[in-house]
Amino acid sequence: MRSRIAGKKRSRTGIILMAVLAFIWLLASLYPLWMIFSATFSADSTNMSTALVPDDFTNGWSKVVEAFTALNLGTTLRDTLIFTLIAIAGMALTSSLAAYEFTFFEFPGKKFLFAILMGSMMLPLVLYVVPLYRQVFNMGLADSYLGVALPLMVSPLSVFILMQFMEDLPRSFIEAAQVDGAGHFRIFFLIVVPMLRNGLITATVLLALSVWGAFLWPSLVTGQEVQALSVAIANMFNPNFYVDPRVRFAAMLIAMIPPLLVYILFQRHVIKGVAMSGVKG
Amino acid sequence: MSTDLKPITGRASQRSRNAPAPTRRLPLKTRLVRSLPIYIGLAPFFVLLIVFVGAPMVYGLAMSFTDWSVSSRSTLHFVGLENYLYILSGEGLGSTRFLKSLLNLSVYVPITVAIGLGVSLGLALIVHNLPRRFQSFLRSGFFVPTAIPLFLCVGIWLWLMDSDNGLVASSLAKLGIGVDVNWVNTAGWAIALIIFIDIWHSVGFNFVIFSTGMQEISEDLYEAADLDGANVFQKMMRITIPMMEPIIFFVITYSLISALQVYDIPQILTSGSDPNSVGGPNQVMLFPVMEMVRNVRIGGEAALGRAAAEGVILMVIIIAVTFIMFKLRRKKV
Repeated sequence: MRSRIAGKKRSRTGIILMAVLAFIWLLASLYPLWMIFSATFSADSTNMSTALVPDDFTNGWSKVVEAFTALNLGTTLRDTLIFTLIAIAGMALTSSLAAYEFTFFEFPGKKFLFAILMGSMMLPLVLYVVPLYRQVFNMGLADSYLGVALPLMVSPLSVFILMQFMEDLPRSFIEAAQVDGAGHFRIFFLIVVPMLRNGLITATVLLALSVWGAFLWPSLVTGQEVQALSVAIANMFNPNFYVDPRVRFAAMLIAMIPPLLVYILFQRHVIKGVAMSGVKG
Repeated sequence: MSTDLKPITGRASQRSRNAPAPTRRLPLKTRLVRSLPIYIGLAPFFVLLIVFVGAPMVYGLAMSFTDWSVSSRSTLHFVGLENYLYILSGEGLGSTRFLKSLLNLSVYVPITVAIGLGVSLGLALIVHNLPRRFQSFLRSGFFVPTAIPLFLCVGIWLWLMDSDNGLVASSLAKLGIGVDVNWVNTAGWAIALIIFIDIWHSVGFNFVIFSTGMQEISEDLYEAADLDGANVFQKMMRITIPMMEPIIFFVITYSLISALQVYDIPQILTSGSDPNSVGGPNQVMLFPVMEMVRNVRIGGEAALGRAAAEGVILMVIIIAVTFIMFKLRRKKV
């Protein structure tokens, strides 16, 4: 009896200790963001590193405005949004069609094509980024929205995620539609796509986060016509290029809003998608 | 909804039982013709995959044996293994820089993968033992740095680790860590800084994979262990970790592959107007992908050929590491 109570006590202190550790990491995860926020919205006379609470919102707002005017952030945001949307649209159409064929049908060469799909998931962009850049350049697509978006919309991971969602759909729907004489693509667009809402959201949100954060590919392929947010922000860290630190932070805050908003709104989907990408193992 | 569908399922399966023999038995030609719509559906994805992944891969491999440069596409020469011999020779700027980048990589990859695994698995084990209502809350918070694009994480930490008045750098200095050290420019510390940023950004990702994996483990196992009087630590070592083995293997492999491609963090930390300054003084944070990109930027004779050769070497390393990981796993199982 006594030992049981002692054991319970020990595990309770253990749990408290574990909770403390977890909350320390939570603080480490979130506090730097708060620091950027409070430093941006602080008076110019405040030491930014110790600005624990925002103390001058008008000054901060003027930095936000300056980030848009002086750094041309509006154009950069628009361009990034456009190529992100193109990539998402292309991924959604091509990946869901491919996932549909792989999930519901048997056909000659299925194993071979599926092996290619899985293999390509293991091949990161960096391995072929230089020839890819020359190829896109030779196709006349350098510094264009399509040129940025096309290679980013090829997403084997999305096919994989969409396949897992499709496997949960009742096959009887498709069989019944076939019996009724509905065509192959009619079934896809009228029956499968409407039921695939969660899968499409998951794949879209994951791709949106990764395209918004992409740096290497846009830094090679963008230039005058198309400007990528990641490249513009990274340029601000160049020591040869002076920017008021609060303006820089304001620009970073603005760049952070879309991905954070997407994460907050679609958290369940993001977490599910990440968990699914771990299922591969 | 699913209950409504049951009759349909029954009818459909009955019908398919009466349907003609499965298509498998038909001759290949008929099967190919019947599958035509399927191939049309697969075409958009696979065309993109061939054009933007397959073709560049083959193109790069072929061009790594030529004196490919930005301007000389008309007078391309086959040079055999010259590009490979040059970048591995240790003579000349391009070569010393590339070898240094491989050296940095061999230090960076094992450390960042080991620490990243330790922190994310440790956190997942901790959170697994906390009350349910904390779990989803903590998970949402831990994932925030992963949701933030890496280039912004670099910006945040560049400021926090500023040697003059960065909040974290000066706090660490008070503890006696890195006193008067310029983290970006100093050998050793530079790699530590990259590891730091990488861990902060990527722990959330691995944590979510571990944490959702642990939720799948059957409660029965833990209840049985409770009956046997096992404590928290024993349950961790005997149940949680063995059950998580395939997921741990996946996370290690995935982390290794992504660590080998490290680019954004060191590139943004050290980019300047001079391409040769990338990687910092004495190339303290130079990595192979950065060297590939530098070759593209500076141009010059055979620059693209060398960049392609560096890409092929990195590919060989990644394939070898993946292969070794799969071999190790097979041995274990």
